[in-house]
Amino acid sequence: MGIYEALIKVFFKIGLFGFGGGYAIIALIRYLVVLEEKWLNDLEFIDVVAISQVTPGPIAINAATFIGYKMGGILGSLLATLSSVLAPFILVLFASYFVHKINQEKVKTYLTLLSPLTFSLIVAGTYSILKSSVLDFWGTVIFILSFILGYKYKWSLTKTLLFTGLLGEILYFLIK
Amino acid sequence: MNLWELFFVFLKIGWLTLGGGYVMVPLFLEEIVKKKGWMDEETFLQTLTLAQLFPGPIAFNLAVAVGYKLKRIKGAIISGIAVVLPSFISILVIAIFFLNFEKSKIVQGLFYGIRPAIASAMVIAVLELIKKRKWSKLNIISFLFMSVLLIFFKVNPIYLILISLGVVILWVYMKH
Repeated sequence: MGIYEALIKVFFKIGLFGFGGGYAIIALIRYLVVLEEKWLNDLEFIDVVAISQVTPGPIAINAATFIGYKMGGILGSLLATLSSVLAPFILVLFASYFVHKINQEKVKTYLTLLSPLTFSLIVAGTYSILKSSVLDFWGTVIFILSFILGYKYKWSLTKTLLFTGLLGEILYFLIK
Repeated sequence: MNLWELFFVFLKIGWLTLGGGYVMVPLFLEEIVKKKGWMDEETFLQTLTLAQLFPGPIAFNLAVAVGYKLKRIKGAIISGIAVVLPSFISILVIAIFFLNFEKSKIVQGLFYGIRPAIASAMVIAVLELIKKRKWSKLNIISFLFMSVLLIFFKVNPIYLILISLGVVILWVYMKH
């Protein structure tokens, strides 16, 4: 199978099974892109997640654009991005056409019942990112520092990333 | 309202949705309901509920659903493209730059500092979710079970998603 077909197939799947949104999708993307296809290693994958957090757009679409470009240039990028939204596009269109009155109670039950799944996906994604980003002494220090800044002092992620990015530059310059 | 207006509003929303997720819902409400008056709030909330039912990024689903409500198929296509375009372009530019300078000391240092902060942001998200949730025993057990399968047995998330969806949809239909 050529790279374009593979990109289309993988990102179509990510769109089709992308429930829960946000961090919940990380485990699915990692499974398909890092573990199965091996298009990225774990470090590169975190970099894609990081870039996605400070640019417009959701992780699934950002990952499609980035990985599509890496594996197949501009055309690969375009195909992967379109594939990642194809299934949601068709499903939403279909439902918009057929569904006229939504039972809010049913939807609420549905979303509540799905929450153990999305939560376990978030935890699995967090575990994999944690395992491959906190590797050495200084990584641990930055992790604890950014945890305190975000959790206790409520720093925004962008601010924290600017700060720890700068810290990373200094440390890298001094120790490597 | 014509299709160009629709295009530009969703282009604007697309630029402003850093990181994605539910944070952008108020932005849609502001633009579509309050500023433009294209929909009343009740219709908007119905459309939002519909968008939440399906896989895919909520910003994209919502754009397609709103686009369809306003201008049928053409509206859905235009809105979908417009909301994705900003993230596509910005990630493409970053990918071209990043993949050329990936090995440079500056980029390595930056991401050395950023990676652990991404991990801590996810840990914080998990903690916030734990604080918010009041779960039944059954929910906790199914969450733990799925997390163990994902993390330690490296089960394909797609299987868990399919099984959960099946069970949840069946449950919703039997209860209501």
